[in-house]
Amino acid sequence: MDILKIGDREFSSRLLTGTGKFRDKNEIKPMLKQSGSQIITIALRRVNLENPQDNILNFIPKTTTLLPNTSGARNAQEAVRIAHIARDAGCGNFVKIEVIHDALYLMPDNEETIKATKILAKDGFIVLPYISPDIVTCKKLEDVGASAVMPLGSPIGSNAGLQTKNLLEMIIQNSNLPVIIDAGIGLPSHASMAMEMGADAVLINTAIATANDPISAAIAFSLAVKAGRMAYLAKLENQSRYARASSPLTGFLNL
Amino acid sequence: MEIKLNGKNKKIEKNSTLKDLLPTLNPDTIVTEVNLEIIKKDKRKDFILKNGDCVEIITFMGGG
Amino acid sequence: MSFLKILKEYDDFDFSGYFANVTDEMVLNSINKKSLDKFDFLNLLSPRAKIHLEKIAQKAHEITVANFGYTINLYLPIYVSNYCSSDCLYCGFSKKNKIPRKKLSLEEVEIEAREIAKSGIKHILFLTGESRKITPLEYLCNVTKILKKHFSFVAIEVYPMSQKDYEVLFKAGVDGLTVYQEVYDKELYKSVHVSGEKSDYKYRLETPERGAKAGFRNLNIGALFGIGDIASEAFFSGLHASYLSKKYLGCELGLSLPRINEAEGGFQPNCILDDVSFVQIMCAYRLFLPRVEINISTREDADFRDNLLGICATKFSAGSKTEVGGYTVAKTKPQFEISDTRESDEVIKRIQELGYEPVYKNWENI
Repeated sequence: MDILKIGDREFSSRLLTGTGKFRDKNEIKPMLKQSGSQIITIALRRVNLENPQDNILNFIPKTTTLLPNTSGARNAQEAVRIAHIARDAGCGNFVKIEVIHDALYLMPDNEETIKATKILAKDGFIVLPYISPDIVTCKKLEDVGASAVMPLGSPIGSNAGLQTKNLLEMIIQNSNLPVIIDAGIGLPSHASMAMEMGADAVLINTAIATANDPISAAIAFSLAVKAGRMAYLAKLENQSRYARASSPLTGFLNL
Repeated sequence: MEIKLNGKNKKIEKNSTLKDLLPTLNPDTIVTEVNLEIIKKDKRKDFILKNGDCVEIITFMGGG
Repeated sequence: MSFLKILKEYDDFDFSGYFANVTDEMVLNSINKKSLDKFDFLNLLSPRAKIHLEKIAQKAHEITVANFGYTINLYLPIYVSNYCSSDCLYCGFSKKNKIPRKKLSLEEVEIEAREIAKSGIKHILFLTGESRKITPLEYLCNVTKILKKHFSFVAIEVYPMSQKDYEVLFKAGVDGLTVYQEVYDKELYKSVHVSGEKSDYKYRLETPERGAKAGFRNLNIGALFGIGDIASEAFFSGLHASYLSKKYLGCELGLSLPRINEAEGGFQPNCILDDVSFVQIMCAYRLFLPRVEINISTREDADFRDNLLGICATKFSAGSKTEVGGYTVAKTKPQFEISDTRESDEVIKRIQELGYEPVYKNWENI
């Protein structure tokens, strides 16, 4: 069995999904069921007291692992606070750290993310930090007790695919933690490419939630993730035929 | 007296409890925080608010 | 996970069984990959891969030029003492050997350093036998301080020490650490390291890590070929370098391929690393670890070294003397016999003729 291990938990699916941007929240349940996704992100917000909406938790099966994010946090301290609220509300001890104060591109603040990770990991959280793809940051996150790293493929919501491919490769080849590619994956082929490269999982929200048919989209992503993973395990790789004319380097050995 | 509720000023009766603030909300799907401290569900009925308290009522919504 | 634990996973690994199943297809596939995993590395170390050695060498050359350009780092060793408290069957400095012993005084270190510095080479590796008593930490610090006056990069090859002691040496000016496991096979390790501190396998295995934690920016490791099974020793050396480079991003890793040469004590090697296997291992290191430094010492003869330069070597010693005080002050027995006996200026001239740039100074901590 090909198992994804995050912290002390084991998962058979390598597709993580999100609850944002669905037109009809009733689609979340069949989306999870059909795609096999076992982890889903949620966000925390102040209740709109004039017009309280349905709580998103009512739309998620109890067997799904919740991954509350800290969206809205602009620094480590705010992220820590949000994580505690989520845990106290009974969401479990998983948390996706998301610290953003760049309103233009919504790029995560790696430095504050490391700080928040350190505090929360010490406090018993299973911390999955969302980061700009930087190998040095990943090593620091490893040192402070993160349980996985979530580098972005391209800016949030851009659906632009793996624009950061070279940087992601560095991380995948050197990380001792599971690498989950988050953000920017717009097509199943992007997800497949991430998995072929050796990513441990991908997180897809916008592309599924905003598709004309979110359930079919989720199935397509699920198949793509499986295909990419199988290709990786089968050690398929781009094989550039090696042919070149040059003077021999080993002639002196008289082979 | 007056408190701050989810960022807005709100006048309330003296000796109101936290639970009194939430008549229409499902108590199981919200988190309550007073002055940055989380108040557990079963403590809300005994938690008496003071003038100037900063109350946050938080719930879960969709997000990626 | 510690490296000891990683090694344990191979306790029952059947290397010859694996190699018997390696096909041409697998070797070619591993050559063409962009990033190689440990099985690709094994494929390249397999007997089957020898048929494809030219292809492997071409790829190794291409990767080396992409990562290092047409350059070669130069360094010189200075032997400051040959006292040793360990008895290792293969080593000329073994305490059992009745050889003249010598430890340079600080004045003599100064004289030697001044002589070596005339070569213009700014990288020095200072070596001792492994005697904590005769060459204690304080002496090593003092030697470092003298060498730092003449050289920008100082590396040590002395007895394994604690992280705390390495921190002291780091402060004194040491930049790099060379420590060879000699043999990764635990049983064989025990059999050739008869007595003394060096017989502690685990402490030695974890030495490079203590150095990395103490702040050294350069680690040089390797197996001494001739004791254990050649392919598996090469595999574990590469795995060790890979483990260290992934864990300590701030460290440059180097691999050496010392092979047993005639040394005092008359040790009969269990096996001989021939030239073809030497080149195969060197290239496999390069393909598996594109950024690793590959160090070729003067144990190898001039022609062979010149040929390796064009494949994937990145670091040469030049004009080395392996006796204590060998450059000026005294004559003792060398730790091993030198094969490339050219003076440093001859080596440098040849490097330039071959189209490479000799690097006299690559690093200075300021």
